[in-house]
Amino acid sequence: MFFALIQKQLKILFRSPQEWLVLLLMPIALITIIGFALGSLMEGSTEAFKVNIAIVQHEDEQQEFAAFLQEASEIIGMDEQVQKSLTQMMPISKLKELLFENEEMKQFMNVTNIDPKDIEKAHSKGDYGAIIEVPNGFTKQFFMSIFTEEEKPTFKVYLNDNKEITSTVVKSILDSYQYQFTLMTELATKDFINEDISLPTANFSSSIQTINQQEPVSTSAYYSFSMSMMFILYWAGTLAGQAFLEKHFHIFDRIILANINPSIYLLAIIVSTVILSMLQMFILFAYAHFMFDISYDPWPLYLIITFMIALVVGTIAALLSAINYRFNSIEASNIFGSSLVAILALLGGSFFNFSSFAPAIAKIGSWTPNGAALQGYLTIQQGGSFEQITPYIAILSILATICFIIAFLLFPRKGGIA
Amino acid sequence: MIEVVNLTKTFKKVRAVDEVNLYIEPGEIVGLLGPNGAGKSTTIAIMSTLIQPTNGDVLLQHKSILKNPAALRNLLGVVPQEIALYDELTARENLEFFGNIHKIPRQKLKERIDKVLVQIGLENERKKPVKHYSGGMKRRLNIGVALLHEPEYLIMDEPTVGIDPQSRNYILETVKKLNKEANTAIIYTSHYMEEVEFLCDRIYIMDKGRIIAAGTKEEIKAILSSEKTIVLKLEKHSNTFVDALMKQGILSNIQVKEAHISFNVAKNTDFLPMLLPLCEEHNIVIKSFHVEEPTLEDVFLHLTGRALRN
Repeated sequence: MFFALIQKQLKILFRSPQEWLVLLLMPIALITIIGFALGSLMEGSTEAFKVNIAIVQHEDEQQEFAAFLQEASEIIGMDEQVQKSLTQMMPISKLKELLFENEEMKQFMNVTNIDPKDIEKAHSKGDYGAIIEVPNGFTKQFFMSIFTEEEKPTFKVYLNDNKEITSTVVKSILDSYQYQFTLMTELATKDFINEDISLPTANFSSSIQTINQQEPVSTSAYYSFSMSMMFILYWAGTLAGQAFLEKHFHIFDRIILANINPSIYLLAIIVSTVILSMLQMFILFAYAHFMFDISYDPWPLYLIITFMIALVVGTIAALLSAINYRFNSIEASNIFGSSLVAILALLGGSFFNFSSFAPAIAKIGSWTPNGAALQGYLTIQQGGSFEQITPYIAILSILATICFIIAFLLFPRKGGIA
Repeated sequence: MIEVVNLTKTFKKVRAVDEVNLYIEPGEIVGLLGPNGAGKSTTIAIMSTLIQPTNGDVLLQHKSILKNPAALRNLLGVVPQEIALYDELTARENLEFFGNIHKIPRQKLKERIDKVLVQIGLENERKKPVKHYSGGMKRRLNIGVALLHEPEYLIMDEPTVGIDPQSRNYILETVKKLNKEANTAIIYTSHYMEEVEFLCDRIYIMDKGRIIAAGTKEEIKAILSSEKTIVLKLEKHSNTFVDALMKQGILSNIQVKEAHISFNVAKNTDFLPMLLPLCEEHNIVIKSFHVEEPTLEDVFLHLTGRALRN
């Protein structure tokens, strides 16, 4: 009899394509779109973010430096120590060193030397995000400007308007480069420069680690879980709405007349919701696995969190059903589906990462069912153990218990006249 | 036997059921006749153990069922006015579900479903989702669900509302057959006088929450036994003639419908000497003239001063 109530619920929902459209296709679409749109940018996969830079050099830097030394020694005199220091400041070499030789930069930059006669072709093809053109006499003028009043040299940088991110990156690099050279020039003019001081190259070497020394979570994984946690909530409103229709069309009367205890009916709502929610999660997680290679190891921990969030959603469905029955209106489930899910999704980190919230909001978010479950999943993704997800299991257990108790208190327990 | 004793139900300030007494014995068909809002549905909802009465009692074999409704529920089948079915499920699946919640054993349920599908004439439509059914087919399945567990008593709340005459006749014949073959006692509520007249052995007439008449068809019609109903068909309608008739004082319940006039008159009254001169005076030609037995509609009109289907 209990099984019949559940079987009926599952049959009805399996034959409602509109429900599945909202509860399965929408999260799949969102996971796909967000995963692809943000995934490559935010998770360290640099293929979609490779910057192509070309350098066109019209001069021979060493020849220009030699020409400077000859001229400078005639004008201001140049001892050997200063000459050695200046070799550390070769501007074009330093730029190339910055762009070519830094291991971190290499991950997201392709830097190509092109012949001056090919510059027009490079412009017209538009393959490069930026073209740096070093004019003839740049190096000589650069050094002369340090020691004389001669005007500072410039090189041309062509930025591709169609590659905004690339342009921004190149601008940042060049700003940093320019700042360092300006600093060194100032030091030189104040006679602080000597052989021991050399132009520092940007030290980009770093390693990315999470605060707790755990594995980082990819963006696609984050949004797969966060979207799933948002859409699992819709089951509560859907099942509660169905339950109200059973009352409205007097099907519930028939159930009561069959001597079914209303508590059994409410329990069947919870179990049906748990089954449907878990099924939805399995499908979404399987999709995320095949699409983004998200792994679920150790799977028992994922199963525990999935069961717990499904249980909370089940008890919310029971609570909404009880409110609907008590007030003889479907409004409770409608409001939940139309507004509360969005608010819970926002607080629970479905749209933005918890870390971007103020601590108080993040705390509230972690007490939402979807927020607690999401944090549980992320902890497991980061290599967390059962002990580390215990606080989230505890929150979900508390929420399920509260909803369950209120639902059973509100639901017309007796049904009919008994 | 199910008995309803001094049943009263008050919703806020509205007294929907007011001191109602009725009973039904095994194997009989009892009609509960009354206009919309008369309190029929509330009365049968209380009898079905779905609503708690404000006062009064419902007895099964002289024992109150208010504290132990399960005893009555096991013997009761209820056909609600609404289509209480799952649209997404087929007829067979609906019957399976309701049979399962009645805890009918698997093999027996299979047999019962096949039998009920034949009874309600849906054996060829059993695999079709209910949402594709006509209104009449849904009504038949609505009845079928209540028959699955072979109830001794069947309560039917306006089971023919909003369906075509053909489906209506089918349902009436089914109810009659069910009573005859399975000896099922039936409480049939309707505001269609002719349905109640066709089906029922005994009738309760309700209005404004009260039983205003009760008995067999003959007993109820006997309320008007001191009168006879005269129906005239005139060649043309005449207001002045109707006014003149009303002024006579010996006629009651005068009903005018275009060229048809009906009225009640005391059985021993010789009204022709009064009628014929009036016709001559107003140039009225009588095309037909006959005396009718009173109907339940006439009784209701007589008792309440209102037509049944207002």
